[in-house]
Amino acid sequence: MITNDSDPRSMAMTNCKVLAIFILSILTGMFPVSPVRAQSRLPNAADPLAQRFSQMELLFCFQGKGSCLPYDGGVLHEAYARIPALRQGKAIVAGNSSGAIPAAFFGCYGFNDATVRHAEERLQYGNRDAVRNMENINTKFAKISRGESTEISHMDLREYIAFALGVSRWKDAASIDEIVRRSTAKPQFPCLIVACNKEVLEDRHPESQLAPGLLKEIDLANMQVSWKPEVHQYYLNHPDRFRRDHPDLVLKPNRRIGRAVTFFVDQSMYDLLSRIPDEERIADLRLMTDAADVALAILASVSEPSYFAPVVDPNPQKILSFENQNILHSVRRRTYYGGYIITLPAQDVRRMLPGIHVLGTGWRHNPLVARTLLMNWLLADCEEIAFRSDWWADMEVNPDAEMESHFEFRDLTGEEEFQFGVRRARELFDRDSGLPIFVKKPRYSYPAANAIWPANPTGNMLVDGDGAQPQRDLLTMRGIRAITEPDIKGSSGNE
Amino acid sequence: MVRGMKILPVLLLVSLDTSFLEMGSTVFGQSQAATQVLESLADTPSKPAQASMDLSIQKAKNLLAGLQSDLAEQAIGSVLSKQLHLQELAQELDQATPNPDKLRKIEDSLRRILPGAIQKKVDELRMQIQLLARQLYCSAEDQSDLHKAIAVLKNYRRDGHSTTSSVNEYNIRNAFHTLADKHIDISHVALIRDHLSLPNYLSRVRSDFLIRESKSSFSIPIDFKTCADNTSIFGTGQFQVDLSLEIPSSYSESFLRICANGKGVINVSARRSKAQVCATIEPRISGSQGVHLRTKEIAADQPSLKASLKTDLIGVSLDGILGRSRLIQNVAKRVIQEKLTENDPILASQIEKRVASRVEEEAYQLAYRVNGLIRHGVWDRLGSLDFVPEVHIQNDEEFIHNKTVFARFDQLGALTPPPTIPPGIDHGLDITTWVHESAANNILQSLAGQKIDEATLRGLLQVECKLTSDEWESLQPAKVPTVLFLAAESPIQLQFQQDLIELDLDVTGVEWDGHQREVKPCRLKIGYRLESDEKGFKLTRQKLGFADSVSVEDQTIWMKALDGFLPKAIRPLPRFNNRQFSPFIRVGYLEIDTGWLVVGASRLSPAMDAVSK
Repeated sequence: MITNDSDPRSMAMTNCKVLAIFILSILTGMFPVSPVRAQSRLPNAADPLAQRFSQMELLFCFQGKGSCLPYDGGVLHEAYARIPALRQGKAIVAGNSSGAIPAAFFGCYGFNDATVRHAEERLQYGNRDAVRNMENINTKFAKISRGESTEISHMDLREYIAFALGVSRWKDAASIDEIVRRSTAKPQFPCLIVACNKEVLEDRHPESQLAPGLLKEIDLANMQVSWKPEVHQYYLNHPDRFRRDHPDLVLKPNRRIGRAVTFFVDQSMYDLLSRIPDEERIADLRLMTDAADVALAILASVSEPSYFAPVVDPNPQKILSFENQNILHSVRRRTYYGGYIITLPAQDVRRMLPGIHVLGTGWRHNPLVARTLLMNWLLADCEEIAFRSDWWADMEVNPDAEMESHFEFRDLTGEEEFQFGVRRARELFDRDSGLPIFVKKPRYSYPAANAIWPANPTGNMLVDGDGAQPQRDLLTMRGIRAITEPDIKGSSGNE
Repeated sequence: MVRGMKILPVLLLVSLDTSFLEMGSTVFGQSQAATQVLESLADTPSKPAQASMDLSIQKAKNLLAGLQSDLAEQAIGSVLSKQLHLQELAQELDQATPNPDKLRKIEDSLRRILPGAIQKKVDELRMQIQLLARQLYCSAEDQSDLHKAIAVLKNYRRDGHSTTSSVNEYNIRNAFHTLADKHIDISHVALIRDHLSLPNYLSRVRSDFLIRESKSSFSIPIDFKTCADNTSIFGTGQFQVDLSLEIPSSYSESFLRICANGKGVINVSARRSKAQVCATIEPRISGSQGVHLRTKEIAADQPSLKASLKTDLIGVSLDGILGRSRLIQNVAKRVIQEKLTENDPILASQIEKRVASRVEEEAYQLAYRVNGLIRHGVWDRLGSLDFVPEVHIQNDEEFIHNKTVFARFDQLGALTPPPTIPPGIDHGLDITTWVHESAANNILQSLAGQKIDEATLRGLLQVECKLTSDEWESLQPAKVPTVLFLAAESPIQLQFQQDLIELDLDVTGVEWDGHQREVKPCRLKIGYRLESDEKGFKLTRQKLGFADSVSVEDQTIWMKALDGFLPKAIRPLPRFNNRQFSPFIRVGYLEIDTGWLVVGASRLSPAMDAVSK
């Protein structure tokens, strides 16, 4: 594991900052010192953002699983029947990888009976043949070993992009741009879509497809990527070499390269998450204002290495990076390479909204070969990140062993896979179980200094303090019974 | 897990769905020559001359300087210098008499698989450091150790393979390691090694199985539009290609031939002025694509495919009054037919190109599948362990075989031949793997000083090895993965004996529940017994203890930490496949004895599949 977690210098600095924030918080009364006090805290009436987000109860994450969208459709079906927050506009939607598609749809159209029904239908019956064929591991590995590209065309996704953007006439569209032009969709509901930043993360060896570059390091606490000290020094001494080796990056006096991740967000989430201090936020924020931005977010998130070609951001000025700096001070262009990197993008959201619960539609962990390959290409060990992301889950509807086996053989029809999703969600909701197997506590495990506390708290938010810690950790992995309807035994489904 | 560094291959190794060679009659090494070498070594005191030593040191310094100079040209250079301990090496070489133990440690760090031109320089430096270290092991004590080692090996040579017990085996391996460390000609070490040891990883796939499973077909839609000499030609149709596999005998590699046979029907309409002719074209194609599975690569020949076309006119129509004339119809027919015939080679070439590209893709897919079956989980992963095994692949009339020695220059392969599978059972096995404990033990040396975490181990067992444990279902979820810190030398030793897998684990520390615990280094002794019940086979933990006395506090920590890490029972993960898209195999034979683990699998028939569900 390459992380700065154990770096004594950064730990000391962090501790000082933590202490300073804590003292400041107590003095200004911003930081709750007990659950009672936290729950009694009301949102600031003069702050419309606080008014809006203090009502939120759920972060619902569509976690990508390659071509397994019908399964997520099944989970959605069951969750919608059981969680009032989804029907009452008290939910934030998030997505990564293929989960970006439904996340984008609900970010534009919100959750209601009609939209949920429509989404279930599209996720079940959409044509996913092209992606499934590309996922064939024999073909993929053969191509990668021969240095050939495995990526398929973004056009293979046009049916799904059209669904997310509310375009019904898509078959005759000659390009994604044309579908975008036909769309009137606009992000209107709180929404977050994950993509990783290629220029920042990429660290493959220049002479090998499969070997790591060994030039960069990542701090998993805030997903900050930096040059290794000796490499940074080398490039400071050899600026021409730097330009040749890394034409898309800018060499700065400090080692910082940038954040590994971008969250595509609507205006409300942009305003919310930009309140987290730079050093603590785990992602750059990319504002989505129109259908083109939403389409870009989907493509950015689904374009996983080996699935689709990476996507260049045509409007990088819409990105909020460090200290309001223009992103082009760090990189000469911004390219996105899939949302695989964060399994559950809940840390920043939960730190800002301590009262919400976090529900994920389930994740599939990469086999060791894929994990190693991704780590060699793109620096980050996605399992180490997954441990820290999953820490925030109150429930993850992870597929069971039977479903995993079917995913591997890709032998289920959309309807069958949908039913597996319904069945699994029902089982976990009934038991109020469904926690990830392994987790690790992230460094920023406590509420942000500017957190918005809930108007009507549901369930416990904070871990009981022992008095020794300056901040009290957020309580996670709680199950979601506190926000489900008590009298619902499960939806009728369509089994 | 650290990028590009060590991973855990042993579970992959023992999980392989794979195949092998008849070993009994194989002659390894030049027996006579090895005997002579052993005899001569006993009489040769081998303290090298100071001049020779100085020369070796100087050569090492020169190679080091060359490598450092190359690394200084690259950004990665400073990182690699650190990882390869080049600074420490420079300091050691400046000593009057470098310390051979330190040199051996640095040599280990130089054992890296690195992309690009740097590899050659690192290898050269490593070899020189190895030579120098061996020259420096020349004290009286070293000489005495060498003579003891030679005596052990000479005795073993006389006794032969069949009488090897596990104690003997340990002594023999130690003796060889000692001998390989000393100042002896490296070619003599290799000769002795080849003579003493057998391949320790064997796998084979039945050719019939592959031929049966590889039959497939695909169709290609054909649409074309062309214009020749004022004649517009349009065509549309389907082309169906059947693929089959041939596996001819080949000794130095595995050669596969994918044969393609196809035919199709294209409906063509050709129009010239007021005349229109309809025709059907029946293209046929046949040919093959050769693929070579070699030790380090998969290579494909140029596809050799030939398409031929047969055109039948089925109708002529002419607009206007002249169109009623049979004569004019015949003239029009002839003219247009000529134009169609002129286009035949173009169409044939298009079909050849499209079919060839698809056949090539299928051929590579198949080759990677076969490669996966005979080497799956080993070869590609060993790169990250910087381990380069000796692999030999070949076809005979019945099987594709892989025979590999997983051993470094100072390690031995198997000392006993693989057990024979009873003929009645053997006949029904499509894929068989023999793994000797030495293969795992040799590779696991690379994990010295590394960490193993519970999540990676579980992932390996579940995802790669398709094994599971009922216990995992009932364990508390959301657990911080336990991490074990392995000892710096020989941290893991495996033994396969009488249906029992025994594992000695030398650990120096443990991280449990997210915190590193204060424990004294110890040796854990773990045993899993192979058993079967109504659900099939399983490995049941028989023991989990300590080799030496361990304090009660430490014992408590270890037992808590290892709970879940080493489950009480492991069994195959149930598989579910509704459509039978891919071949479905089941383990039909398992044996653990005399240092070998044998796994045989066969294709599950649809009836058996139903039962297994």
